[in-house]
Order: sequence, then structure tokens, then C-alpha cells
Amino acid sequence: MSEMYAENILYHYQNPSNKGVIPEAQVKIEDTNVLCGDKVALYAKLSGDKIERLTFEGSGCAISMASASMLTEKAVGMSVKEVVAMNQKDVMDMMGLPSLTPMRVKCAMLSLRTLQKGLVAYESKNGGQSPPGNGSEP
Amino acid sequence: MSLKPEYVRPDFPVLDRTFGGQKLAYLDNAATTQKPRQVIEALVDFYSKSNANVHRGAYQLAGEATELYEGAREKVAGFIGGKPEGLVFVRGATEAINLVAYSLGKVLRPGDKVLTTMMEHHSNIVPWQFLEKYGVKLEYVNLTENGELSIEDFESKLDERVKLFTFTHVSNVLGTVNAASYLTDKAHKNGSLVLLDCAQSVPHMPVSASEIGADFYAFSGHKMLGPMGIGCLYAKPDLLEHLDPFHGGGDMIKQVHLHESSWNDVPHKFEAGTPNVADAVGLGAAVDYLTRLGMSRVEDHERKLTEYVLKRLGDEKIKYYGPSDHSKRGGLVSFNIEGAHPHDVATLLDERAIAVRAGHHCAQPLMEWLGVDSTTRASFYIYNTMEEIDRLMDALIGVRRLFSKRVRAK
Repeated sequence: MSEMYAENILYHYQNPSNKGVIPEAQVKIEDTNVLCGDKVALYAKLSGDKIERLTFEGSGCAISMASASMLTEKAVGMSVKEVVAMNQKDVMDMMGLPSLTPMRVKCAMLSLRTLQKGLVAYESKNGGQSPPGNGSEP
Repeated sequence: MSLKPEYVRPDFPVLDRTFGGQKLAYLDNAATTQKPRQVIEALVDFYSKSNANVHRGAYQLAGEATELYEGAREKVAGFIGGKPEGLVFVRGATEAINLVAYSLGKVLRPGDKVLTTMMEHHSNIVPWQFLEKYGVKLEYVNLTENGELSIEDFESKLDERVKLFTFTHVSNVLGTVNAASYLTDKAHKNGSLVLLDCAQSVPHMPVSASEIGADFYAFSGHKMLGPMGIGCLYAKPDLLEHLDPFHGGGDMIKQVHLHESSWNDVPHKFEAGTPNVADAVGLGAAVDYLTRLGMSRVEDHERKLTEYVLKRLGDEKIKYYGPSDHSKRGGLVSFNIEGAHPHDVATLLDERAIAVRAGHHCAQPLMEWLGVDSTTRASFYIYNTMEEIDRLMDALIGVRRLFSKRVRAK
């Protein structure tokens, strides 16, 4: 019916990876997409400058939930710096989406944005050097 | 004779648009309606031929602009069975309600109550919350299972401290049509003033201020074929006399001294600054258009569409909200497909050029009451057809199929 709702997206929507809370996570952050009401909370456990574990909780549309699920798989093992440097194209590639309308881009970007915000706040509190990223929309 | 959408459709240029090669099915009329040529031309005409600032200009062009503006006021007031002195042009229903909250709020005392309902748009909640800061209490009438106002709860909450009962005539989510006259009468017997949010009723059914008898009516022009940025507060003129003005500035005064001023006659007392003349004239043209069609026929047409869509949704066992009796409803329906988020539903409908709204519809307390984050809503108007509802239903069946399929890992 739609190329936006390809099998991988529906799969992650119906069977999200890494759903849950990490009580001992150093980075815990939640945000909403005011436009749609998508909600996401992310929990990142760090080991040195690397993301050791990443989980999420939330509710929302297939695009926002699938992107959260995929992000929790992709970001593990990446450095904070690398995650903060991720951008819209990386998310589109991760989801296998050619393009989205501007309204729906916000859904797709919600988890990454939120995670980046949390990581940047954590780094600045702990004297880390990660620059606030180029993760913003072009 | 019943309203034939195929006769009105040629008046609406935007309905010719296609998206991905498919004809637009515009089913988001509760958000805003499309504009007929007659309204667009009224705007172009005003700016091409009659533009000048209104009131007090000595030259003929200003006189003409003033006549057009005041003529629009007469038309719109007449459309709801009111007097022009009671019709204040504002930006929309939201501003109308804010005006009343501000001006009436000045005479409310701590402990006074504003009674509203659980089915309101944010525009009939948030302005009253501003008054809570000054000790005014805000209470909500509960709903029945069916999505109608609980008369029992209404009567139990309507006590002598309720100074205002403010409620929607037609719910923008449930579609429920509230018994405006009955409720107004009850509130008046209690000594309360009544504000009726008519944003979803004046565009869709005959509404007579003299029959309903409420004290304030709020509605928006853009939801009734008119331009965005123009709307109305209608009130009994003597009531307006007793209220403090909302905005201060030019045109709303009689005399200005260094430390005090006196107010212009109503309704001008409530229209500070240069008014939105062209859009008021455009709204006048919209009212002419609707008057020619006849509001009873508009209502009948939408009711038929609603009856049909409720039947189809029921047959498909798609969950919809509000009364199942179409005669208790306005021309809109909110629904949810299990396992499919409304934003995904709306996106998939958009792929078939069907425009609907998904979200909380500016009614978050109602969403909470319904136990959902959001819904998808289809809302109808004069140009919508049974075929468009068939297209909607075909698409919804496709959406359900897509989301009910269990996808397996690759």
C-alpha cells in the first residue's frame, strides 16, 4: 500500500527492540512531538565514551516508534560524539526511507533529537567535550 | 430539493486539485472549509476597488469601505437572527471567547464559578483557566457513556455560584449536538449567563440567537466558507454595553484624555484599531452563499453523509466516538483503527489524496476521557459526496489490512 510503511518499519512498530527502562542509566530523557503527541523516553547506559545499552519507552505513530526501536539497535557501540553527529539523512538511511513530508520528519527524528539532547546535557554536566551536534535538521 | 454537491463543487477552485494523480477528497472541514469563487472574488474586489480605512474618512472611497464593512456586519448578524449592534468582529471563535473571559472576568469574584463541559475545544478551556488565578473556580460537566452531556451532572453542578455556563453547540470530536435551548434555559433559570461556542454549528445548521437565547455566541468565518482571520462574537447589545472593553486603541473610544477615556457605542467599543475589513466583507459573501443554499439543506446533506459513514464504519467494526444515532450528530466523525496510530492512518489516506485530521483536535481533556491519545477525524461540508465516503472507507479497509498483518523478521 505504501513505501513509507515498508516491512521493516511495520516490524519494528509491532515488535520494538529494547523497550524498557534502565534504572542505572546515566542518561534518562524524555520528550514529545507537540504536533502529533508522540512520546518517547530514552535510557542510555554509557561505558567510557561509548553507548553500552540503549532502551526506550513511548507511544506514538509507526514512524516514531520504529525509528526509536531502530535507533536503540544502531547506537549501541557508537561513541557519544558519533551519535551527536548523526543527522536526518542517517535516520532516513537507518529506516530505509527515501523521504518524508516535513510533518512526518518530526516523528522520525524525535528519538534521535531527544537522545542527542540528553547526551549533550550529560556531557556538559560531566565536563565532556562533545560539541552540540550537527544533528539538527539541515 | 436536496443539496446537490455536484452543483456547488465547480464554485470551489481548490477541489480541482489532484495529488499523485488522484482527485482531492477534502474531509477536514471542521478544521477549515474551502472557499468558493464568490468569497475569493469579494476579497479581490474589495482590495481592487474599495480599499480604504473605515469610519471617519470624509472621502467617498472611505464611505464605500465603511458601507461594505457595516453591510457585512448586518448580513452576518442577520444570518444568526441577531442585531448588528450585537455583532463584534474578531479574529475567530478563540478570540471571541477570550474577549468574554477578559471582560466578564473583571466582574467575577473569587469563589464564583465558570461551568463548562468535558467535550470542549481548548479555546473554551484555557481562557477560563486564566481566571482561576483570580480565584474563579472552573468546573466541568461530565459526559454519558454515549458521548453526550450528562444532564444529571449538569443540574447538580449548576448552583448559585455559577455565573457563566459556557459550552459547545456541536463537539468537534464527538459530533454531539448539544440541546442549546434547553441548557440555556436551565442556566438562565439559575441566574447564570450562557456562552455558546458555535464554531461547529453556525457553519452547518440553522442557528437562531433569538430562539436559543444565549448571552454570547462565538464562531469563526473560515469554518463557514469565509476567510481566515475573521470571526464573530455575538451578544445581546445591552449586555455588551455593560462589559468593559477588551483591547484599547483607536476606533473604540469617544473621548480620550490624558488619564481617562470614554468608550464608543457597541459594538465598536470592542473593535480597537483598524478592523479586518476585507475579510469581514469576504465573510459577508460566504453568508450570502450559504443563505442561497439554505442552512436546512446544508444540515440535511451533512446528516445524510454522516448517516452513511456511521453505517459503513459500523459494518466494518471500526470504532468511532460519540452518539451512534446520526440525528444527534453534526457532520463529522472521529474514529480509531486498532493497532494503527491516527497519524499513520492520516498519512496513508493522504497517499490516496484524502485529507483528514489526526491528533487530539485541541481537546486533550476529552481525549483523556475517551482513553486515547488521539483520533482520526473526517468532517464534511456542502461539497462532499457519498463517493468520497466510499473512497475513505476503501482506504481505511486498506489501512486496517496493512496494520493487522503480522510482519515477520527478515
